[in-house]
Amino acid sequence: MNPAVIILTAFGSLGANRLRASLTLLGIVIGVASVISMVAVGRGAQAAITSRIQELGTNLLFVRPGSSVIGLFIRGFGTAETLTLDDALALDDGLFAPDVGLIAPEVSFSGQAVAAQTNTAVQGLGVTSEFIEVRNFEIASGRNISPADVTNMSEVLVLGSRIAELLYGSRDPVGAPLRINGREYTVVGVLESKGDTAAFGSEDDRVLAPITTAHYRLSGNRSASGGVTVTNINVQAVDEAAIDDASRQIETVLRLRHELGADDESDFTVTTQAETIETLESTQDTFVILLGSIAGISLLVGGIGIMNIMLVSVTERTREIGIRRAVGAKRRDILTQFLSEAVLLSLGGGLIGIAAGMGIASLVDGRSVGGETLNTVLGGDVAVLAIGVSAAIGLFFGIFPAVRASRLDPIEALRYQ
Amino acid sequence: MQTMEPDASSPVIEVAGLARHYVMGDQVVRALDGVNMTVQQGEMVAIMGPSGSGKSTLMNLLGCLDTPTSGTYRLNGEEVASSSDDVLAKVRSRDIGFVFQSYNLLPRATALENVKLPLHYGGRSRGSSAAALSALEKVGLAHRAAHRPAELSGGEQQRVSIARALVNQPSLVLADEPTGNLDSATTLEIMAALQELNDSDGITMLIVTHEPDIAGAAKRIVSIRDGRIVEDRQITQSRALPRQDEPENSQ
Repeated sequence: MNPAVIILTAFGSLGANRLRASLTLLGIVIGVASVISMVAVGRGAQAAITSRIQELGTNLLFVRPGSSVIGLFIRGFGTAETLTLDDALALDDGLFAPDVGLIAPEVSFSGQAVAAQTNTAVQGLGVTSEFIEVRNFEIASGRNISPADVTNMSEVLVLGSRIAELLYGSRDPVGAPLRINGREYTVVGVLESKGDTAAFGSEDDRVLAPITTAHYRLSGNRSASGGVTVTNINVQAVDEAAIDDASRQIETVLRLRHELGADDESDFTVTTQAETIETLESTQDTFVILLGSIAGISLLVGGIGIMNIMLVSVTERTREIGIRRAVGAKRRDILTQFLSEAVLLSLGGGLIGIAAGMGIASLVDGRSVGGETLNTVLGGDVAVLAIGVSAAIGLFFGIFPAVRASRLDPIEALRYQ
Repeated sequence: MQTMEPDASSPVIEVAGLARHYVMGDQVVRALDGVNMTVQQGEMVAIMGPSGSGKSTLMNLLGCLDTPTSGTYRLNGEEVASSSDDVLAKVRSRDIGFVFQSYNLLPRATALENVKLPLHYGGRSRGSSAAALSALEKVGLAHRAAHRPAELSGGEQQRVSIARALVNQPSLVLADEPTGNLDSATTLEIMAALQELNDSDGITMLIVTHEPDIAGAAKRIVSIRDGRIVEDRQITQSRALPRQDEPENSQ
């Protein structure tokens, strides 16, 4: 039988029972549409995070202390106290580290902040004046932490935009007092809002203090040497191309300073921005795959719907099968006919589903749900995959009913009432 | 229309020791038990017998819808008794036309589409419409080509199914109680059509019936009982149907 006749026959058979065919189609449409839109949302989130990180600058490196070991327990990176403020200063070395640009060490602390009426838990960073430039912050009002603040261990704070609003409402907090862990500080500046970066928590919730103040007054850390231990050193390479060289130079300078032998492992790690993005994206990939798989289950249910309807159809059309067999249809002809109906259903559902999924994706794009703005990214690969998967589902779930139809005994089939 | 005759010397049907046994529980039912029969090209044979005699089993075997337990069946000289399912399907589409008691037309397809169906499976989709239309013309239904079975009378439906049986220019037409569902006036009309095809086109025809009147239209009557042929006689002068002198009664 020629393909055109097969397809026409399949259309005819499906058309004879439009309601049933459309309901079956709907199952696939919902499945494919949810896969497409879910993946679009997942990828949108991924793209948003990646671009937010890239805003920080792609020539950024992070130097973190190695993991500390207490007995058998290996704690996370950054828990050891192997990096000091002096290490950070030593990286500013034109001879051994010519590709290192700006250096911004930080010390993290947390505490309870109390303004006039409000109090809240805060995550803070002790920083030097370079921090703002290295991490692309702008001062909205007041001033930055100055080198003098660091030297003098001044009791001043710069607030993130959201924490400022939370504590002071619409009032300008510059000059206002803020108590953290019982000690009073003066707010000298407020940062420009950066919006949300889900990966790091909001940057706008940060409280910045001079690194020395943070270390001695706020963090509660005490080092054996009496020096300032840092939790992270942000390093800007002079340009993007120099990032690998800068990474090697940092490694060399710090290993020398830490007096590590050739066989010793470094007690710090240097990661580049690109690596950070890579790690994050791979986590996000898992998330996207998870979303897609959950949606894929509905596609599977749709496939079972096709199988169900095809089985009913085979039973109902037993006599038709008998007639076709009597006038010369081979088993293969019957198989092809029923299989093509199933594939037509699933493929049709797939195409409509892709359109619906894209519609949904563009509809929710930019909408905010529960305070989070949804971004969607549509990919041709998902559409191609969805088409392929729906055709495969038609074949997979259509093959059993079709084989059943083709195995019918023509005599029995002709007698079927 | 010319009948296809691959080997003019061999008979259309040549059956020897044909048997079909069914196992039902621990019993073996001998539906057909050693049938020998030869049908020459151009014959019109009526197969008669009470229900359960095995005539339907014989028709299924002759129609290549079933394969025998033992025995041989040569169709136009070709041994088909132990052929594969695919070969039998090919034989059905090439050599055999079926006319059923209940017409067995596809309800959603038009008369023309129904007649075209064997051509599609025979790999002759090209020019199928013209061939189907000429087959419909032969049974006088060309003007009803675009109608669906539900819009046609019983007689018309049966004529469509005769057209479908003819469209492949088969060497053998098998009619299983072709008038069983029809009133007597229509019965005469259908039998006349079958006789006409046999007379003028020389199409070999086997008609299963239990009505002596219908059998009387044939040139030869084969009677079956308990799976065996009990009588096989030529009718020197087949009765001409319809009997025009009798008034038509519609019951």
